[in-house]
Amino acid sequence: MDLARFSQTFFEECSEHLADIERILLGLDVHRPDGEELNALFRSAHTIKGSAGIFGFDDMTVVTHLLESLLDRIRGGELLLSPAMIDLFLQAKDTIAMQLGWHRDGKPVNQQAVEEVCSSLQQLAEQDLSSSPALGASSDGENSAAGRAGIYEIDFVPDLDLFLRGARMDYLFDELAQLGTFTAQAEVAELPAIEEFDPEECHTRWRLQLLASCMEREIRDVFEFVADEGQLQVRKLDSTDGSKFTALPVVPPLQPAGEALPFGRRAYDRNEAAPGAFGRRGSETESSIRVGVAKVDQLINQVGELVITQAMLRQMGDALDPVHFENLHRGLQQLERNTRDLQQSVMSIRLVPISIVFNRFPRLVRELAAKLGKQVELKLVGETTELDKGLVEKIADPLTHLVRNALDHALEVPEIRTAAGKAPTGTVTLQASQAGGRVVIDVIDDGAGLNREKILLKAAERGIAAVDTMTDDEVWQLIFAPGFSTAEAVTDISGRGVGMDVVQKNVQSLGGRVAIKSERGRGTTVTISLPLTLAILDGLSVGVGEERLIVPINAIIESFQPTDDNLRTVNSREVVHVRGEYIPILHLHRIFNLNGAVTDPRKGILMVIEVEGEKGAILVDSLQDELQIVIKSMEDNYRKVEGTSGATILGDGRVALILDVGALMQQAKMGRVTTGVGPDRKEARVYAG
Amino acid sequence: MTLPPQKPRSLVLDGDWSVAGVARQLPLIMAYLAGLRTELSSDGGVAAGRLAIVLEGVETLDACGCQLLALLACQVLNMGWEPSIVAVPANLQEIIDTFGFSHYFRSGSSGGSDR
Repeated sequence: MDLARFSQTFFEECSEHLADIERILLGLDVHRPDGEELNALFRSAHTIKGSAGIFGFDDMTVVTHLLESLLDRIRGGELLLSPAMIDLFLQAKDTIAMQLGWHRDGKPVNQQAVEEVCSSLQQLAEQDLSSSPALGASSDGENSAAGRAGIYEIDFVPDLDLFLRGARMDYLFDELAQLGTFTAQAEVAELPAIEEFDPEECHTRWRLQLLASCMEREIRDVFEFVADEGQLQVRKLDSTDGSKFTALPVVPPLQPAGEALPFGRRAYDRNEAAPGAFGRRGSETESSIRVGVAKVDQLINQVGELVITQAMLRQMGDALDPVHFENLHRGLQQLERNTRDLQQSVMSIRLVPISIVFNRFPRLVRELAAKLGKQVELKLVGETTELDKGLVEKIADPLTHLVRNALDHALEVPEIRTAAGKAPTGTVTLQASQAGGRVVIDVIDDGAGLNREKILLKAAERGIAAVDTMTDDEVWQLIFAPGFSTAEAVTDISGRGVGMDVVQKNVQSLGGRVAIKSERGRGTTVTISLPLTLAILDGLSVGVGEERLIVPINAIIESFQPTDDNLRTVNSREVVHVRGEYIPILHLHRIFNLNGAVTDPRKGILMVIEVEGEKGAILVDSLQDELQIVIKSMEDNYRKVEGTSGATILGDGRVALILDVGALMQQAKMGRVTTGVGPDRKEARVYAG
Repeated sequence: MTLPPQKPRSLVLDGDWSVAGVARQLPLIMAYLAGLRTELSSDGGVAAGRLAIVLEGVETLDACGCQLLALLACQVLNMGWEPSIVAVPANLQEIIDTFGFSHYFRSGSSGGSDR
């Protein structure tokens, strides 16, 4: 059997279980751990072990076996959970993740770390049980039965698809045999007529008797993946003298000598790697299916082509007489509605909750806080906010930078906080929300805030143009300069000045923006704003000369034709006066070196745009169509064109550039896009290269 | 599967009797049972007796195969025949015992539990 076909599913499920383990460990109350959470921890470790065994990843099964055994003892009340154990289990989780990385990506494994973790787990496992809590301390009294042999009667009524799912009864019985001695009696019941009999369906039910010194839960664990509630009855018989145990023949385990199963080999056989054959029961997989991202992207791309075709048809239809071609027009309208619905449905497939990223931070914050000697509370808000899967993956690193910075630089140690009249525990809040067509992520700390004087001083030292008259917002922008750091000391956490510029660069590459607000002594908020998706955009097509350009709808405030009264020149910059505000004018024909465009704002249209609180007015010849466009990468199909975030194909088949209004505004602020008055030929600045 | 013409009647099974192979075995079983039924109902037909199910040629057997064997045994029994398994390799007997199906068969030359 070609297991490689299914290995991707295993890798994904294993990663999810590891994430669950970390999340649960970090949230556990060490002194009063929740029983359900301990069970969930055990199940995750158990599933990883079993699945890894199926794929022959024995290195993983060794670590998970040790981990699982300890978790089992903890949930059974045999071992008392301690903070040190949490740390060790987190290390074990990291080790398993490292091993997973080796099997998945060929990443090297630090064998010494593996051995150390195994050794620590082993030592813990070998701790004298007498130092552990009394076995009988469990509230349900079940543990008191451990260590004393008893007879269990087990009735197992499996699903019809037991065999088809690949469940291996020999492995299951072998696991049972590891608990004790057992006998089995099969009853083939409720058979249809032989003509209608499906030989691959399971019509058999089993009654087993097990003589074992184990807990009922251990028996149920053996059947975990093959029996739902109600399909398994486990009864402990009163008699323990064995008299009730002679009804059925005692049978040895099936496994031939010398062919021991790997740890955790579960009850799945020839279809053992089939979807649903490990980790999940068939009924659980029915509610969702795993589909490769490449397939989803292919689907999105095809729907994108469909949208373009539909736009072309609509444009052709618009040229036809609406009376004579009424039915055709109606059909085209219906096609447009259906295409839009289809596109939205397909796009939603790629949306995932941001909790996928947020969940990595409790661990990070816990460890950094301990390292820095700070008390930190992490608050996660809006974890269910959805955004494109591609964005989620790429936003993780910038967020990590920001959180590390917040802990290392922003939050004060408890003594200083107390002296400043603050609570000794600092707070870092990660907050996600949707605003319009964008996702906004705030990283908020209640630390010391940015130090304006220090930033200006450092800027001067580094030769960055900075003056005292700069506004706070302008000063905060300085920290995005490459290599800029005000940290007193370079630590392994931060301070090398390789953070904020990378953050900004990464966010901008996703079509996002970074903004900072800070108040001395009260804290800092870094806001990342991202597009909801990288694939489609609501835009307005505008004409500039012979070309059509797309302006993202969510950036547009208003459009109007200015008069002489509106137009001013301030500090050699051409601005338009709108309700008390002076807004710089951006000449698109200059930026993109376009011929035949309107150059006099009074003869064209000014479109006021706003990005992250900054406003600009772009001069265009005409407003044309509101469109939902499919974004095509310029880099993939041509090359990067500055000031644009991509291109699209219009209904008439023409290519239109999509304006990156934020980048244009940024360039204008930095003086790279001239907004000044003067002859066009002198001010023309072409970014298309 | 082959049908030896001689009496006492025996049914020789072979091949894959796991979940992967049972779909191929079922039509053969049905055909054999249909033939057996015809023989019994025809004038001067054979009298029901002991049917030996020969397992020597069975290469693979699992719980799913055991279930089909049990079904065969039940059908045969309903016709008035007494099924037994014979020439059972030790590993197959172990499988039948472990899965708790041995009570469906009266063992022949090989070991196994009585029904």
